[in-house]
Amino acid sequence: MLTNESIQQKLTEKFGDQVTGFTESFGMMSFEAPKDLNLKVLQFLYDDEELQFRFLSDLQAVHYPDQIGRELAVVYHLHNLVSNVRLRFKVFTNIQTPDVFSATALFSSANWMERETYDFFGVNFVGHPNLKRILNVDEMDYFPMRKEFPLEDQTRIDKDDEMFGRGGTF
Amino acid sequence: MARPVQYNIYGQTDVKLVKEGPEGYAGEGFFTTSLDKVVGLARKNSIWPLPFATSCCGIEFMATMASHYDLSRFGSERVGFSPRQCDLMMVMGTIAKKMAPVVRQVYLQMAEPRRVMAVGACASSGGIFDTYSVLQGIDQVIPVDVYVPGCPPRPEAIIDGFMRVQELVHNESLRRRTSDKYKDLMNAYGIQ
Amino acid sequence: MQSLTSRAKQVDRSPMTVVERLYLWNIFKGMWITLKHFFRKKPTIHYPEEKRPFSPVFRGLHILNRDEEGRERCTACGLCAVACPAEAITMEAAERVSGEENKYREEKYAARYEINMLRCIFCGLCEEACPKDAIYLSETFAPANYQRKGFIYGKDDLLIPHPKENPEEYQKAVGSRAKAPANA
Repeated sequence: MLTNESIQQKLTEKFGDQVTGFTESFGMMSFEAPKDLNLKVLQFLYDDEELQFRFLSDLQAVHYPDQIGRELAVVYHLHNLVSNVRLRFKVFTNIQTPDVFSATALFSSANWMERETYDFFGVNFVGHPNLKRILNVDEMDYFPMRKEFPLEDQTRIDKDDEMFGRGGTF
Repeated sequence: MARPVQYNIYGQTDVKLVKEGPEGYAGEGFFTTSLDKVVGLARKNSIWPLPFATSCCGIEFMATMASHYDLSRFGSERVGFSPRQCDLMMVMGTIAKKMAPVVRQVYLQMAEPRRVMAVGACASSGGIFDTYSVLQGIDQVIPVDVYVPGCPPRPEAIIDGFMRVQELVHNESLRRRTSDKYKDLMNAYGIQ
Repeated sequence: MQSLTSRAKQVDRSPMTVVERLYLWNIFKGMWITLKHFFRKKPTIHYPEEKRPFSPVFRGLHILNRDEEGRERCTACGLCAVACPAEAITMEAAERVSGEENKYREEKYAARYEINMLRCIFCGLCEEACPKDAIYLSETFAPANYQRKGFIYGKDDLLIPHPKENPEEYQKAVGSRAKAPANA
């Protein structure tokens, strides 16, 4: 029987104090590891006879502008389809060199999800076969989901008046 | 529920209606004046729509096609999914900037006389999505003949817009599509 | 290969029976259903001729309300414009001068009040935000139009008819929401 406690036990057996931050919210366990170790942890979760986390259901990033040195978190959502257990795995990286190893060799589904994460957060996946923008226009020169843009100001005047019906030119 | 008023009687009347229609009407030739009317009548009652549905307005369009509102009463029984066979492109839903070249490509693949109807707030002006990724109205990439407001518009509103398209098709001169004014309009969008 | 889950099921691939292979019977069954539908009630609403009643909570074109004496309720506070998620509302305030007390209810009024119906998503937040009961969404849907400029609705399109000067049209606008004719 696979429980969150047994998963935690297995992980600490294998990786010692490298894996940290075990928390549980709504029955789903979450933990983190150093970013150089992400492939090893994913491979272990994939290969282990009992763990069998062989489905990557989601991959995305989160930007924490206040945590200096570990601004970007790349989050892997893993699913064990046999015993229906889900798991969340995070690696943190700094925003100056956001290089994380690509999981495409292990999960083919990571290909597009990593492209999306690159598109919106600028995480550079090392070893990705085709890392370019997927959802936004190719000409875009910034990463829109990073929290470095101010919230919209109601008194903004650079909007196209014709589109908003504020007098305008027509 | 407790609204003290029920209707806006001025908004619905033709007071607001811009009468002249889209740009590009040109003078008539003496030869084809009556033929225009026959051709207009035929075209008006056999408009094949091409649904370019990307979100919720498309669902409302499906309701319009279904038996309660039945768009085929207006001569558009066949919804074509090939742009080469269709006369009216109905753009329904948010068009992202990445999608804009696709909309344009589909428009270019349609044969003349082609028309475009922007259904819903997103397609016509971007609606609430004033963001980095959303095109602020499809008339930035292709010329639009009829706008239908609403979020999403009711089937009645879509039919209302469709009847405006019919009116436009009915009154169109056969020479409009070869006139200089129409060519200028196309050039303004960079379409040859 | 080991199956991915513990809930996998085998697909039934047994060959078809003679009746199933004949197809004709199933075609007749389908045709019979089609035939039955000829004699059913027709659900189609012939829209421009017959109109379907809208729900009383339907949110359509806006309407600017007046009070019983026909004074405009709007005081141009701008709360609707702030509440609007699409930023479709623009207004310009003006101060009431003496002699205009029968036109505007408060000391400030909207000299210009415009809604871009193409931007508007008819969410009703302006209605909720209004402290003066001045703006309501009516049961009239916004009509289609040929050009962008036809969608900027100004005050003359949005104001309800004057209840004293134009009582007939006022009644039309109020519709079935009219109370017992106390002030008529």
